[in-house]
Amino acid sequence: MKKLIKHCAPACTAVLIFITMTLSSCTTMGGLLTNLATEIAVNEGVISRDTATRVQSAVEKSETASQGFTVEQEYSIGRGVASSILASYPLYQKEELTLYVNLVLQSLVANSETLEMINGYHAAVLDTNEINAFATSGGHILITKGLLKCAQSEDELACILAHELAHIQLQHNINAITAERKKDAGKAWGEALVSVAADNVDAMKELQNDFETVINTGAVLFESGYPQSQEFAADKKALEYAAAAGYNVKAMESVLEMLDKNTKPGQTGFGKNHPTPTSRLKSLKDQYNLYPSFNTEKVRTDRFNQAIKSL
Amino acid sequence: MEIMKKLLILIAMLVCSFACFAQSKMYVKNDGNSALSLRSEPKMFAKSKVKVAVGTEVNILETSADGKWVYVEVAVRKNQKGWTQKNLLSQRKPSTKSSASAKELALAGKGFNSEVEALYAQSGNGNFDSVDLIESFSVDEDSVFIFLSDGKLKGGQ
Repeated sequence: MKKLIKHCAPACTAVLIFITMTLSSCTTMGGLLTNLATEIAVNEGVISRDTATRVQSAVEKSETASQGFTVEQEYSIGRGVASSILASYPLYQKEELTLYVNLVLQSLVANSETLEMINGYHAAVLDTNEINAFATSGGHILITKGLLKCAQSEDELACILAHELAHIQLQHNINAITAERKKDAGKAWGEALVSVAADNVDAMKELQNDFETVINTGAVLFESGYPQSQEFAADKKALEYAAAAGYNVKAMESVLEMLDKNTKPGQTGFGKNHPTPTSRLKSLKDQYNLYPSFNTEKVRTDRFNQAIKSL
Repeated sequence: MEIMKKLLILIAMLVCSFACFAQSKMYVKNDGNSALSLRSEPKMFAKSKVKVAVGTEVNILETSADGKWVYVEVAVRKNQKGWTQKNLLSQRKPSTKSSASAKELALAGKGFNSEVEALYAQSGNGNFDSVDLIESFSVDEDSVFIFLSDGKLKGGQ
């Protein structure tokens, strides 16, 4: 009997994996079922502990790639991506300005439904005159001094921050990372199904490589920018956020016009794939009247001018 | 062999159906604030009746017409009731640690742990000190309310 079971071991493993894949309909089900099934199989002597571990790890990776990351993982990745950017650009540490930018951000967050963030949303200014901004899946929104100088009112700053907030909600950064990870998952599957030999992979090294790959994918977007369609989508969603908070959506138009003036011909001012301000203005042309119109209040512009005095 | 395969399938299906339907509890999310206000009305900055800690289990009694607000009661203290925004609740019990150590717990999530982050930082790749600094900068609810009111924005007075 035991001989028969051992003989069927590879077939059993394959059947177990197939069952868990077809039955996984809930977020963590695939992993739960796999762990249960493989543990039973190990106890019955059908598969070795090593094989069980490899199957579990493969399902975990594949599940992660196909169903997205957990909130905790997105936060961790967001921190990693932010750390990578902050290794290149120092923080502009002026408390009054940082507080102000965070208040504008929270004004947007308070008025719209936003994705759950482990540690909330935080904004910071980068000490560079380059024109750029970045948002991570961990809720970090980084905006350069150069971009801040392109804004002439709180409403314009709000539109810039709303655009970054939109990238987070639309999960552009994390989706790019997920796509990258899917390539990795295929490799893990192959290893688990074929190998019943002793497991000599250094688990820590594997984790470390995984983390680095994920961070690099996210950080590279800071240089190249998102696909144009995603930039246009973020622009549209930004108007929604701005209007919900009571900001003047037309401020998006004026800040894009300023960006247009400040960027050299052929450059976008952002990553090389970024759409030009002109194309963004065109894409938004008929969007403004979809939202209630508010004036750019003087009280807001006054406090904006006060806050950016140090720039 | 056949019997064991069938048994495994049966167990797997039972576990799957059980876990799929256990979705009725909600918990107060950790969104950077230490406590959540349950309010007298489904409006932002309406009077706070009681503050409940992050991770507290609540039962939803009613949902507003636009679906954004829910009237809840604290599971273990049913006299504590009030309105809160639905997106401040989670189906997963969150970490109840302070924001400083939320990072450690979060990193301990599958795959990435603090050791991995430390190794990445050590190799000169990432500046986590700056990330921590950014995350330490928070604005309290009262300040946001005043900012909204002064700026003639929505959600203020």
